[in-house]
Amino acid sequence: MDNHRSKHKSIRTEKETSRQHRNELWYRFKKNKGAMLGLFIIVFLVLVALSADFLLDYKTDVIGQNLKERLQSPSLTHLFGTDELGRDLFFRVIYGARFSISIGVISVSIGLITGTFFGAIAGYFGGYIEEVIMRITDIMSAIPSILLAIAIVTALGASTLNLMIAVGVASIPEFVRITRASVLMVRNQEFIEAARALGVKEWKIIISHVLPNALAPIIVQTTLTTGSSIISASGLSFLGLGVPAPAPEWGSLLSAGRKFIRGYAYLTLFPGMAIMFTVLAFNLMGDGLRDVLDPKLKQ
Amino acid sequence: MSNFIKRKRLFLIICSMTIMVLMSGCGSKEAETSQGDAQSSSTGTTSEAAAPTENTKYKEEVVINTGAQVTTLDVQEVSNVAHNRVFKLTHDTLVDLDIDTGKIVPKLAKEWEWLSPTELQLKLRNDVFFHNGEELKASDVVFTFKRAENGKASTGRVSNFVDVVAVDDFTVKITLNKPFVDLLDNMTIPVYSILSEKALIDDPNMGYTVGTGVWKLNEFVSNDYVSFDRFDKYWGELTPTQKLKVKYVPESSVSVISLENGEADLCTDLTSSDAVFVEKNKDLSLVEIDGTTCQFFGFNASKAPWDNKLLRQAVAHAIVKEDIITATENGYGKLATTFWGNSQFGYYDGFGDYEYDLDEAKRLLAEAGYPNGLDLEITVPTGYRVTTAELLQAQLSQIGINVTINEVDSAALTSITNDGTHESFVYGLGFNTAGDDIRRAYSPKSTTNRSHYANDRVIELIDLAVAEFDTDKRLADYKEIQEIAHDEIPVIPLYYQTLFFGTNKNLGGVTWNSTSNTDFSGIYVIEK
Amino acid sequence: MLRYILRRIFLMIFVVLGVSFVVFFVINLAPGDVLSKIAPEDATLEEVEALRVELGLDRPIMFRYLDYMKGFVKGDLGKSYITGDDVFKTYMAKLPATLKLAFASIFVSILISIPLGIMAAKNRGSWKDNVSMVAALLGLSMPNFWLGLLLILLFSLKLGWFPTGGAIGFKSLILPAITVGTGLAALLTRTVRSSMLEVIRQDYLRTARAKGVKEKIVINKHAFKNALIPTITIAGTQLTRVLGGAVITETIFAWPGVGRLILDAVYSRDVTMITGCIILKSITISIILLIVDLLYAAVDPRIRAQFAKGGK
Repeated sequence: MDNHRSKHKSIRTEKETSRQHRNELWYRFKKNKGAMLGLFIIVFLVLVALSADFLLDYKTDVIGQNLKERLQSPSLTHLFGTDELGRDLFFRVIYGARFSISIGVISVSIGLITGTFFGAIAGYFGGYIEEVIMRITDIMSAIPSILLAIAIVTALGASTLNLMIAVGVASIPEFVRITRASVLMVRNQEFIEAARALGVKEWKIIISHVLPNALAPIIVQTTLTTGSSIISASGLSFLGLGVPAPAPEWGSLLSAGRKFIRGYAYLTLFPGMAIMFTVLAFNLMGDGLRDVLDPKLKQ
Repeated sequence: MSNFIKRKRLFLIICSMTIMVLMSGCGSKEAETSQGDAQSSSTGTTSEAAAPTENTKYKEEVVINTGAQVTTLDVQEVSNVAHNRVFKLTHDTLVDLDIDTGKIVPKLAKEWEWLSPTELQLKLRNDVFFHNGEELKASDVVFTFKRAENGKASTGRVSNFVDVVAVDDFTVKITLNKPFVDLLDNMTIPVYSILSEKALIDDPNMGYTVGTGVWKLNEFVSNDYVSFDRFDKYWGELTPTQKLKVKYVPESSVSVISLENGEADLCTDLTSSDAVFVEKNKDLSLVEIDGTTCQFFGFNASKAPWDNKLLRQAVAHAIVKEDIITATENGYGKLATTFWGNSQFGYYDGFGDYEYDLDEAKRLLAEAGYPNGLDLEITVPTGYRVTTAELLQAQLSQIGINVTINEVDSAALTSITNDGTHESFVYGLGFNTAGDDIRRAYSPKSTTNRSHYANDRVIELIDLAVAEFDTDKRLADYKEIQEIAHDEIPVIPLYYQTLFFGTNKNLGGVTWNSTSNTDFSGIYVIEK
Repeated sequence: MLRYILRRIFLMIFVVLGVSFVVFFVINLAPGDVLSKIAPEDATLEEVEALRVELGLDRPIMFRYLDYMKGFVKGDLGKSYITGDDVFKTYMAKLPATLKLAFASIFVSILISIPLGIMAAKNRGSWKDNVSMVAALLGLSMPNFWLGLLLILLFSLKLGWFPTGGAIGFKSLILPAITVGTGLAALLTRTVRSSMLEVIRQDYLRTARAKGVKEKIVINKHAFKNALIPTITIAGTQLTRVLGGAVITETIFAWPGVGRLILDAVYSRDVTMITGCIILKSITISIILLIVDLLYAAVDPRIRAQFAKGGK
């Protein structure tokens, strides 16, 4: 009995130290200039995306056509110029933040939730459950994501949501592997065994003890995958599987602009830069988090 | 009898040309240039290259970029523009089309006559050799058309052949099951190219690559390139070029850059935005040809609510075709008013066009029972046509039609239209010169009648016309078809797409054509 | 050891079976079939149906899959519906180009990431660190087709140094390799940097420093040598990623590799070609991974001991 209590206590102290730990992490994160820059860009973009509907009228500013002003170079009236239908590229890029950011975030959530779930189960239970999950993961990662995307997008129809699913599904295997690996590392540690001995339910152990302690690599992977999802979406646009017209998702803008690359380079320049800075921001933040969370690199 | 028919044929062609000129009014010039040799009719072509002298030096190897993949070299397996251009290098047909006059001219057959309306006799040249050294004989022709029964692309082409016999070594007689006026016209298409019997017996797998053309296959790397060596025993005029390479470059903007770079000498099927750059470049020439591919906006005329003629007419009144040409094609292209090839026999555009009239459009919508508008899904294949769909979306929103765009790849589009699950779609159809080619557009059985349009009178007229040797009557039949189609408007024709080729400015020897008949076999590049 | 290899081969077979099944059915999900590409343009609906029956494509998918697997078991991956070519031969014909591009890309990424990683590690926390890391991330942050087009505009058009595409000669390899390689450089730079940081603080380097060995030599000779193993490991796993074929880069640069082969097959719904290619691709990757693992075992006795226990 006495023994039990002391173990229980050790779990609680674990929680306290983790709070302390978190403060320390934030301090270290703040010191990382690149990561902070990334964070600022992301916060800024999220604000832009959220306010796009207040700033712009979708019907007129974003998809409203004006053939008289088609293919105009950047100027004061049209900061980023206009496209072949006379739509203001600046407005479209601004509004496109909504699409691109939400593609990044939602598709990564699909990969994160599914991948972490199965990865945690595989890592925690082991045995044949693990074997089955991991082999299915192998199969999934052997299938090119473009093929998955074509199947998903063409079978369900081209829409922003289906594109998110396509991109998200492709990121599942990596989440499964990473979660499993980190769960394996914590699975046999004392405090887990303690919880088990206390009779805490398996799924509760996974959710409240195993996952939080395996969180660091998952967080890093999430941040990095958010960036790469935006890139993947643009790749799908290139292959004609992107967000359906006339929605101004950055990848679609970039892809549609490429046939004008010889004459109207600005049509690819601005959406390209938007993607580049956004993905860079997510990557910088991911890198920063990795540095901060990696215990081996503690000074 | 046969002479009579031959003369009739000539008369028919002259007639059609005259009528076309009269009917199309000021458009006549374009109608002619569409068939004419680009060197004389198109902008910025290869005029200086056209006059080589004795001591001109020629480039040994000429490279052509194509944006479409060549999947086979068997003329009987595939028939489309990209493949036909390659087939014309290695193979010859019995007869050819003179694109200046629209007349059928000799090729492997030096003369021919209609023995009866169902019997065609052709006399072959006796100086033709295949790449394997064999002489061309009538038996090869018989063999070719026999083999054609099993080719994917050729089987439908010879389904009306009852019999093909070798009368003697150099005479062939084709018997048809019923009169077919367009046979000779059709036989200019590469799917009717003559194969070598011996080559296919020796090597059933690759023997079909052996033809009688100027170019002999060197190497075929699928998904990459096809290269050719000149066949020096060619019966006709030889080109000074030794080697030829047709390279698959999927990304069009890169294809143009490689032309500007000098890596390629000719670039097929440029986009209009790339064309502008080729035109500006002093080292390059732009070949611009009025195409025969009609880009259109079609409905599924067999499915409610768009089986209602009034709705389709309402849409026709709300579309501004000029804007579509401006935005999709940068202003290039010829406005289309009838769903018919503009260099095809029977073309008639005297009905005018639906006037842009939003009030009339709204009235028609109300009459059809949709005073508040309705939803419409436009299925569109990936690529430039998406811009057209976006414009249609904007234009139709004016009359309360709420458009959603369903972008799919071309394989999906074909199965969607075959199954008839679509509401409307944006696509194009390339027409050949033969009048009966219109069957593809209006026959309810055809897979290219993607509107599932069925009108009994139209089918009756198509069948009447193809057996009609009287040109006037035939033209009248075709005119009536177009009149009906104009009224029922299952397909709104938008424009005829201009074709662009970019070339090295010292390139010559190409016969440009709007249909798949562009002939690269005489290609050469003069070296400085 | 043998048990380990057998186990790996068994797993490979399992994955291949799974992959073939999933791919076969996934393609079937997508609307459109190969007939839309092989039926002639002037075909009637009945003719298309007749062709479908002739090719056996009208039969339920399960039967078609079983038929396919019957051939597969005998080592026959079938023929392409589009070209009629043997799938195995076609894949093998395209593999060298993909291998070339894969190795060249890894080489480019190593070329970029080792100096950047060392610079970042040496100057941890300084502006040099930040700049190096941003530079390493740039390639990863740009969509490949855009980067490729920009490279073509600069190096092919403006400067005329390299051709725009095609796999002819060494020069044509450079731009596609840069396009893919810069995307890989980020992870590799990060690996070089962190493994350098780990090593730098280890005791024997402190000893080396204490013994008066110059800092430069410490870094270059000792630290780097030890950071090399994780770097190579990461480079190896990246190789397997690139081996699948860089679809977009291969399209932009008209590079005749496996990626574009698969892409064109997908567009034309050439089921046998797609399934065959992906099976072969996963086999190729599995074999390479196995060889890599065996090499490790040969080098490192600790890993060998693990194999003996049948672990993974």
